[in-house]
Amino acid sequence: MSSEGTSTPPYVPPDHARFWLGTLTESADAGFVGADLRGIIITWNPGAERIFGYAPAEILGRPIGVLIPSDKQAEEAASLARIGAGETLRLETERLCKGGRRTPVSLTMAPVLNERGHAIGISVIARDMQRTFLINAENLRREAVLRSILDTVHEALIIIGDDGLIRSFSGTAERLFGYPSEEVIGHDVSVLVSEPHRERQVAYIARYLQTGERHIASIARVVAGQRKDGSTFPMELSVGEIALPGVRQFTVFIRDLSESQDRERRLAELRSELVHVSRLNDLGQMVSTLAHEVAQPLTSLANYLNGSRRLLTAGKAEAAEQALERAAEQASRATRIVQSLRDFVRRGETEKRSEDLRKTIEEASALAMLGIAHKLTLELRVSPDARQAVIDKVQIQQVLFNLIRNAAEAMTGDGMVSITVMRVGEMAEISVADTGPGLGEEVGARLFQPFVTSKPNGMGVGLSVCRTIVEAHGGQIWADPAPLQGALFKFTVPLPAGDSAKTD
Amino acid sequence: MQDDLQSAVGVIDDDPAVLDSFRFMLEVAGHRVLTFRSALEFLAHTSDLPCCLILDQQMPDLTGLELVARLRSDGIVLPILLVTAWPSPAIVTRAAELGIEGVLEKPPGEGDILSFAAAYL
Ligand SMILES: Nc1ncnc2c1ncn2[C@@H]1O[C@H](COP(=O)(O)OP(=O)(O)OP(=O)(O)O)[C@@H](O)[C@H]1O
Ligand SMILES: [Mg+2]
Repeated sequence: MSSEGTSTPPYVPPDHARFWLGTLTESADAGFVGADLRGIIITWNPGAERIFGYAPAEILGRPIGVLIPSDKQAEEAASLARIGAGETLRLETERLCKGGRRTPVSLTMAPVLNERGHAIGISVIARDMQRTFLINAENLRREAVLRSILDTVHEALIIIGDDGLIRSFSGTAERLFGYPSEEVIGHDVSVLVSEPHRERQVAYIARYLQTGERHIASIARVVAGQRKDGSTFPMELSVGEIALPGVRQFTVFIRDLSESQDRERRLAELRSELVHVSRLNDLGQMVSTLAHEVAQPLTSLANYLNGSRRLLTAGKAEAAEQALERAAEQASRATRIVQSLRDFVRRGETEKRSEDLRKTIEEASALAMLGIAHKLTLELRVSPDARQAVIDKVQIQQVLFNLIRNAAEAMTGDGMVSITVMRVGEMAEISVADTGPGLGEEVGARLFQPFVTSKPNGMGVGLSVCRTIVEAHGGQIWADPAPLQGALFKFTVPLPAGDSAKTD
Repeated sequence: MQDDLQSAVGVIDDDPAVLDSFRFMLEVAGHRVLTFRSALEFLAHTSDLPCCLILDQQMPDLTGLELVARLRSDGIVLPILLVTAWPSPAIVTRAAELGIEGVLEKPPGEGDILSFAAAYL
């Protein structure tokens, strides 16, 4: 360039260069190591100390060979020969730290020349690659995990921007909607939603986008989806937010509820969720906490006993006695832990409390109505003198779930499920009525026995589970033999003690 | 007070009974022992290090592995035996990455502890 010769570099007094260099060397993250022609280390900065663990006093004057693993000696000899010939080398290799640990490093090695251009030693800049290695490996691992998850889950994944435009469309999404990803990326997400409901359902997503209400994301929503060929299907959405600086995108997981198999699986999952959700989490956590809790006294116990054995062998009975006392303390500590575990399990067996029946029923029916394609109206009436009952809430919700589910399954078209709670003596009586075809002849008297079913995919266990649960509560369950319409199931659960005196 | 810290075995565990029992067992076997109730307490002492460290994984504040990562990034290298009630694959892998000498399940065997201490004195 023509201007190059005209600009003069800023003037630095020759003796100041030393200070600049000194600070650079002291503050660099990289290790700076200088060795003379014999390979004796003569400079060593704090960076080198951080990487290799040696303080300057420990390493200055020692041969550079102490940093080189035995299987890298040949590589080092070859490098030195090339540097001797005036070359500057970069290489990724390993070096030994204080204490003998190997660490991956990236090195820049160059000859140090005097004013006449003669080599007087070598300089080495070393960078610690340990962290870089770990971070790279971790990123690769995460990517692989993510890919394998997306390949195996049944949900389709769509990523949309806060403008509602589709950014990414997974393979499962392509199969589900029948669009190749390039046809929908960049389009509004509403193309995937069925026409008549488009407004309302898109509004749901939009509301999430606008308000960013986090709790909506955790609630799965069922809406009607539309495939490329125009056909519609029920789909369950769960929306999550990707929060990156400056970018607001949303992940939408879509589960197809129309596939009978998938729907059955979903229902089976829901059913077992009802019972297990709370307990499973508790259990997994319990086991690892417990392992830790019990391992502590066992560790102490083993240590005291092993030490005591040595003392006894050496004839020092008195000293051993004290340790054995402490060992005994640790044994009772372990016992107390096991006892509290027993208490926990016992409590878990009968988790009966006074619960609000309206809330219990509302929650169960919300779950039971999930994925029902036809239009169902749900009606709930709770008499004021039967608001509470003493129940295991999760179990009674399972009973309600099975009854509502049966009612919904019995009605092929539109219909109604009415649930009524009233007081009969000391019990709350809950009835579930539907407007379906009523009970068929073939099930009749064996209704509550297991494996009695009239459904192609039914297991016939729903009502028998109901009976087991209700009877464990001291109640009864039956089907009204001659309802005015449809089927009518009733069951009873105990009211809170002393509630009989109360009148509303 | 120990005058020669270089020949002591360090033990870190948040549980006082575990600490006391390690001290007892190692002292009976003829070792000097330094005990620390937490990783932070140990970090305050890194100017004079024990010759090797028996370290509990599950501790409040800083876990065993977090402590080792901190030591390594400070360039402090000393032989470490990690003891944990729950040696998950994640813990074992991370320990290997950090160059930890060994991971033992709680309760650890006396032989494993003593041969570790003997090897690094
Ligand atoms: N509300 C209802 N209306 C009509 N028939 C019903 C109703 N509830 C139950 N039934 C009949 O009783 C049978 C047994 O019901 P149950 O809930 O025990 O098993 P299922 O629904 O067939 O299978 P699953 O194990 O999936 O619940 C049903 O197959 C059905 O024939
Ligand atoms: Mg059923």
